[in-house]
Amino acid sequence: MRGRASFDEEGGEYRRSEQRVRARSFRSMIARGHCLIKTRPSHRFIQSFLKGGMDMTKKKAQLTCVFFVILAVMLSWGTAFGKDDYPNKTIEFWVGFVPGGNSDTFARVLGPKISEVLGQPVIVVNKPGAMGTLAMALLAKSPPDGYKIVTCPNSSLTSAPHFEKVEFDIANDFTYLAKLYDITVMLGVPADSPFKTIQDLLTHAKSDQRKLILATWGNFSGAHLATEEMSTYTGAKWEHVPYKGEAAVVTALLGKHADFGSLTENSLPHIKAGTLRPLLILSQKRLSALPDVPCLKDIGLTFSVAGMTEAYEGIMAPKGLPKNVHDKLLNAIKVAWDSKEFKEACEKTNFKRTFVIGEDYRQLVIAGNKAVGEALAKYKKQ
Amino acid sequence: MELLDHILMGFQVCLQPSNLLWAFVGCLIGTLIGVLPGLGPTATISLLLPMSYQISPVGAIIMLSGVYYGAMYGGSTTSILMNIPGEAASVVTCLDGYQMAKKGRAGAALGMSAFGSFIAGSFATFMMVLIAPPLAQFALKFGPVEYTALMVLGLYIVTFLVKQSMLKSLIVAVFGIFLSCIGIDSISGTSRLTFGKLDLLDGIGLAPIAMGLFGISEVLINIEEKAKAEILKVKIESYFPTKNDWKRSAGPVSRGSVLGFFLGIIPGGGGVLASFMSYAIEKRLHKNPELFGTGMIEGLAGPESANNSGVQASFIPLLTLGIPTNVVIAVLMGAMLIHGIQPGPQIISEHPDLFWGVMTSMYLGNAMLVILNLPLIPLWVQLLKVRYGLLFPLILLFCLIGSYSINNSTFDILVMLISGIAGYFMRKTDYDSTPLILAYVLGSMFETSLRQSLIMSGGSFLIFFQKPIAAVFLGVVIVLVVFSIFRRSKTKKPAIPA
Repeated sequence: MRGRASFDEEGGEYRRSEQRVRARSFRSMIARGHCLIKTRPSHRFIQSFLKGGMDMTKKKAQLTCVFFVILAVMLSWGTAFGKDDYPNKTIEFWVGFVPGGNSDTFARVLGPKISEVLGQPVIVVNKPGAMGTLAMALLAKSPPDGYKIVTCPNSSLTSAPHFEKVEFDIANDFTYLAKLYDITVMLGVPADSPFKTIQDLLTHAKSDQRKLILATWGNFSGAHLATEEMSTYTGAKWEHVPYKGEAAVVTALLGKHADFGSLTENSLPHIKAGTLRPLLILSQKRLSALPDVPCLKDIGLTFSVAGMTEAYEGIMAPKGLPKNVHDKLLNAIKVAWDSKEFKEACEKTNFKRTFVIGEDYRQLVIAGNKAVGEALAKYKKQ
Repeated sequence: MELLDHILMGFQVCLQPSNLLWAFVGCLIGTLIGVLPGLGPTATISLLLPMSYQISPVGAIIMLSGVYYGAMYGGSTTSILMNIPGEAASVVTCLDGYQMAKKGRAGAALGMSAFGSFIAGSFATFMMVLIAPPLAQFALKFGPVEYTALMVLGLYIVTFLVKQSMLKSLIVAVFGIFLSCIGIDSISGTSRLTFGKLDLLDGIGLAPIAMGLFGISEVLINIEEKAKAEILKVKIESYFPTKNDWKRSAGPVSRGSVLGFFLGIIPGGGGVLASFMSYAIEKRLHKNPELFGTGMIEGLAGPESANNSGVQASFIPLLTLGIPTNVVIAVLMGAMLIHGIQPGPQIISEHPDLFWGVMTSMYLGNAMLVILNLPLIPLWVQLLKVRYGLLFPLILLFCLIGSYSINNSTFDILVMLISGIAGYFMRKTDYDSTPLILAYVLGSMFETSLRQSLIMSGGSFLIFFQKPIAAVFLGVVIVLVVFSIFRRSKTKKPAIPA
């Protein structure tokens, strides 16, 4: 007697003693392995399933379904329970943009630090869409349990709501945790441009010579609106060509497809290397990294650029956070903000670390939104 | 020679055991995520960023670069085996690669794709080392005007992809352009065709559409044809490309490498165009163009080489000028920044070890990838022998997870499913979906560049002929159009009066 029944392929029988015969195919390998172990109905089931050609009986189909249902329940079990303390499970840190941008890079520096303080993993999840407003809309609908926080640049809150009807109210739908760093916008030219100072550029623009081309990273973006205000107050005129993102603006400047363009601290490497020259800081204060570059006040322009070129990024949560959750989160964020890694990251990118919390942050955003709204009403003719 | 010194230094850096290890890790991870459709190098590199803080900057950049070009190697695997393109550039691989797999030549397809990519990558690395800085300056000359002309050429290439009915392909192409208009228009800042839905504000993603039109529709068609099980049980002819394959692929690989290299260096859009253009050129140059789409190895080798060559070339603007060419390179730029390396024109002087080390490690990485991928080919081919009833749920699962993983959005899954059903109907009615992908990619770029150019020129169309590079591209298009009219009128029989 051959002992236990053994499975085969192609209809022939297969003996255990012939196990040294090399399996001709993957399937026979599995068949061999299984028959060497046992040949209980469950294993016969697996073998016949893989071999194919046999009709699945109702019983087997039901078994498979039950298996998957149990699997699904087991997988979802883990998230259902938790102790009452916050935090007792993973916190999601949403970024409203694709990886590679400022928001994402900083979230990936802050995330691990916050996680250290809170003792739970903090995972960064990119939820790009609609200039960051998709993530904000999803956040507004999330429960205020402190397990979902979002980092976003001010533009998502001050500019984007004017372009599209958004499903959130910036004044009331969020808990503003803290503003973490400032970004400065400036105007620059390629290194071999004939304009050595902003006055040269303005003089040229006011005259009847060839119209200059300005590159910014978006039509009616904060930078564009600020330059429109400049144009109104100085009488200088130029042609505006919108590009997609700061990298495209830098490329356009380096390739001489535009005369001047809007830049941020992201372009400081180019400035330091001498391929781009900054002419003006689009803000009422000078930039410490570039002490010789004049700001708006220095050339006699006193209009406010709140919400337009005074850019910043911060962290927010849904409204109605319980006090203990709010305090724990804020504390964790402060520690992360004070951490060596974040300080180094800010130094490397030249962004200014600032810490503005709660109500002050919220008021800043509301004021910025209002200012952008007014500017848009002036310059957007639709 | 100074160049030789630099190269030697580069090899010294990348042959250090730790850097070798990181290159290997990067290539391995890259291949794995490349095989999974949807989840791409962008997300993976960002996930690996925190872990990369622990290692040296050079090692980190070597590893992350390895993930990027490794993903390109892996991406062709699912395209060939299951007709699922992971991203736009893999779509062309599906066309002939999958047909080769259906005929039992999956091994040859996978092998030629690996070898072609290796040769292209080596060529690109060689060129990079020699002429990177002046080449980067050439790339800078591409402004909106030049882009528009290039896009016109690209859109004309769509006609080369036509299989049977020109009218049907054009309808599909126009529909692709229409789809690309959905979303916020960057020039005017207004949203178009979004119907107020936030999800549509950024447009419909290309990857879900590609996965649906190719992968899901293929599954649907196969389920419908109950005889599918027999079709996939075709005898596996060989696991590796034959001598004949090599002979036929020599030309496409060389042409693809060169084409991909020059298109990949252009910031913001050259990469995808490279694989489509290579396919179109090979089809045009071949003796029997009508066979393309039935499993011609030329249609696989050329685009794969162009793709890989383009990927290598896309590093050039980053390392020489500090400008990212696409999203993946932008993430790499962020990684460099966090490691304390300011990306910009001074990299080559301030961090020569990084510059030359990364360049030479690309060559090593390509070699590693070929060594990694070749032994896996028999394993992948065996996958095809699994009963289709077991395989297609896995394919669907991959597609679902893949499309979600791109943006963590369930909307992308919906897009993919709808595209899949639409693709099924398109195939039943003989509408080819390839022109849609190309037109989709080119449509938005064409429109944006055109409007930017017209703003710059004050409304005059003459600007396209005033700038030399643009004039050259448009000249090529005009020549091609004239040629094809000439050819048609020659083959047309003169009308015989009744």
